Amino acid sequence: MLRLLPLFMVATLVVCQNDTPTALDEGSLPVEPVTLEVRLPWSQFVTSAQVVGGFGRADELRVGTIANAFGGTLNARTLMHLESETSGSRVAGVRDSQTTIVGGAFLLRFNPDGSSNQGPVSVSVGRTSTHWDARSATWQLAVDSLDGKEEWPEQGGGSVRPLGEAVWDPLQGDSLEIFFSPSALLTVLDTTALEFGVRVDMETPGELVQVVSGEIQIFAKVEGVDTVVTMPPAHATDLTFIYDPAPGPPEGFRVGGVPAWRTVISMALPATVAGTPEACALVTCPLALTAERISLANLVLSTRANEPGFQPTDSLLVHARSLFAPEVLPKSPLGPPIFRDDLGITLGATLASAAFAPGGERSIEVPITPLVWDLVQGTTGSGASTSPTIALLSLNCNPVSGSCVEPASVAFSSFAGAGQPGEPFLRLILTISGQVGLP
Amino acid sequence: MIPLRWPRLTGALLLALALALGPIPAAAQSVLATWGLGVTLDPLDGRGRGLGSVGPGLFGTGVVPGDPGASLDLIVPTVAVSMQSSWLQVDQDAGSATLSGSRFPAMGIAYPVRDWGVLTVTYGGVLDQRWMLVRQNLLDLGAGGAGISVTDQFVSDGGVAAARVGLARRVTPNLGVALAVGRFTGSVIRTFTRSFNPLDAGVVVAPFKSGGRWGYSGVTATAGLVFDVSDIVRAGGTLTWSGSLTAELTDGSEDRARKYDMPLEFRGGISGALGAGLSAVLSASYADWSGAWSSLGGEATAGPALSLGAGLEWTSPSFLGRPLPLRFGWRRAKLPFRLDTEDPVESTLVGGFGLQLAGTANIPLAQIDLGVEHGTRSAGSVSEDFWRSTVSLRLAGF
Repeated sequence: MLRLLPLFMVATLVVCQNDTPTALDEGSLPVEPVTLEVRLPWSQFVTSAQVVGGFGRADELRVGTIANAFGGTLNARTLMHLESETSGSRVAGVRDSQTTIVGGAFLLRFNPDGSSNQGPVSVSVGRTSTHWDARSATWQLAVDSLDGKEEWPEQGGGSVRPLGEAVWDPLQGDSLEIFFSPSALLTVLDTTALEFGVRVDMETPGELVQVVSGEIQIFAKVEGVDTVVTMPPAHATDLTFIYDPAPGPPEGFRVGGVPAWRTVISMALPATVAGTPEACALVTCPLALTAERISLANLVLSTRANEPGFQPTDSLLVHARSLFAPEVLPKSPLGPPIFRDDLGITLGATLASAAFAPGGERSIEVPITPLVWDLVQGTTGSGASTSPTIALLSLNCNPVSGSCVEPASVAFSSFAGAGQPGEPFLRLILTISGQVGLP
Repeated sequence: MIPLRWPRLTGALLLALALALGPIPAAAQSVLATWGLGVTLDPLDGRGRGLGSVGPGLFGTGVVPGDPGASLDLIVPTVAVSMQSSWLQVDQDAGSATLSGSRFPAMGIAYPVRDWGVLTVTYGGVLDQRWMLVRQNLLDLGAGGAGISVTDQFVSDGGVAAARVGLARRVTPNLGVALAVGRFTGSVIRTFTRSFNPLDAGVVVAPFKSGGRWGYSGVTATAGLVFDVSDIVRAGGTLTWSGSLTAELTDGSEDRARKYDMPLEFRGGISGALGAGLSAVLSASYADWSGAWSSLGGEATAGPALSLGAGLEWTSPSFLGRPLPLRFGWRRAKLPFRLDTEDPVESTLVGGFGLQLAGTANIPLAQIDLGVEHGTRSAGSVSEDFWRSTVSLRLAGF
């Protein structure tokens, strides 16, 4: 027993719960801080702003778009290259054996959330006949490289050899099988054409659909066996889209689109702001802007209706990033995300698509608190100098991996610019307190 | 020769571990820590707690911070450590709460040095400053925006302790003197945090924080006297003088540094043998904290702190052949820091026992003492009902 006494003492202390006496009388609180909201007009915290475009390519998005006079104007078509071994040669090899090709289909998967249609729409697929480059193809050009530019024989992807057409009803799921006719099957199995790409078109006017993936399926029957088997599918190796017309120049601020626009803002915060009587009773006024006092700094923007055809069909994300070298725009490298939450997810503003429809204008807030902390301190937390310039950009982020790509969609976000109704401002939440001292 | 049955190495290691846990924070002492410099802590072991004692003058020996004379007659090196657990029911205007916590109120080492006397090194709490306040509010931020709900939390975490070195020496068979000098140590972290409801703000809002950490320093000295009349009566007293208690912000800011005038403190007690194995103890302590008033200002005023205690000890009982003294007592203390001009008063009934695990009647080599107190504290709108147990372990002869 004696041997265990000290151990008993230690164990007793370790297992005991330690509560801190909690006073309930607010009169014992030694400080009584004041929290207030301050709205800094554009002219008081911005030195310059510009909209810069041309960031990213449609194929980087890895999601296609098909549209037929969406918003009355926008046409878009999705182009895919398929795995080379799926093109006729491999299938032909199968046919030479004891296997008989009996049919095929093109399987498409869509993103219903990013699509405009509530009901069925007609979608067609055709085999492209002109060589095209996924990195540079546009509505007008099949190839746009240093070696030269090659126009489509017909704008919008050239002529295609039809493979099929079918109706996609989003209520039935997010995929669509377009079965090949015998003649279309011959087109698929044609090994003479070097180009093995497909073009997906929207046939229903006024609609826009996002295409997530596409693949060819070949059905075969082995001699002596009744069962029809499905050959391994041929997936898309390249996926891009082309659209027309291009949007006009921005009238205010613009973020997003393909290629993407960024709104670049250079800031210079005032050293002091006006205080309320309650705050001025605690400390000297005007109130010095310090990092300790700033709990929130949001850039408040007013949305504007987009030009027809570029209305978002899904919510958009707007993020803020530091620009390390704004003098070399548009090449300036981006800093890391300004604001991450406890899970490491980049915080931005999620914008409802309705905010960019006529009559749907509203205020949205982009959180930039850490940047404002660094600006008032003059350095970042790691001691590096702070860039006073930020870029507002639209990113397509993977919620699982957290990785983001730009561009995010053919649609973009429009905001009121400087001097326009709904001019942006900076919203600050400050907490002012006397110093916590001893009794 | 004294039979030493204590397993030296293992026991020493475990004891070292126990001592290393010394900085375990005190908790659940009292909501009264909110006012003034906090709640005063009496440097008592389990035996003193069980007797209702508030000072020196107990029969026997001990290693007690602030009472260097307690170790006067120790003839073997001794280590003593106490631990304390509290259970509190707090009632205030705004509601009630139940709390519990543990702490090391005191520890010390005594070592007889040739014929010079007994050298002691002790560490014990002086003031507990651990408390917190949480409230919720809906703030109107002005500027035409919607209100935002916030949670304010103020936390005071820490306290003042004293480390002392003392020497006790018997100058005549009936008279012993003791002297201890030491320094105040410890620190307090006081932090105010305002957290914003992200649902109201629509985005994560960084909490506002303000506060600081103050380190305590200062000198203190205690002189003690022990007078014995045969084995029938023992009287003891201590007088503690302290310089200013200095609290300095660890970032060096002088504008938030404080100095508090610590009071001159008197503790005295007398024990008398009533019969075979039965003795009685009376004790009192007094310290006038009004000198610290000028530092505190505002509503937090301070005044004299007077404590009285009385108890009985019956040493005849035994358990498995080992002595098992039983103790009972009463204690009343007026705490120094006032609430709403009212003096907080603590009143307790106490009981306890000791169990000598090894050694002889006069030379305990291993002894455990338990003191249990049940009492109340009240001041203004606050009342507390509490249980407090103090366990002391004393090991000697290593």
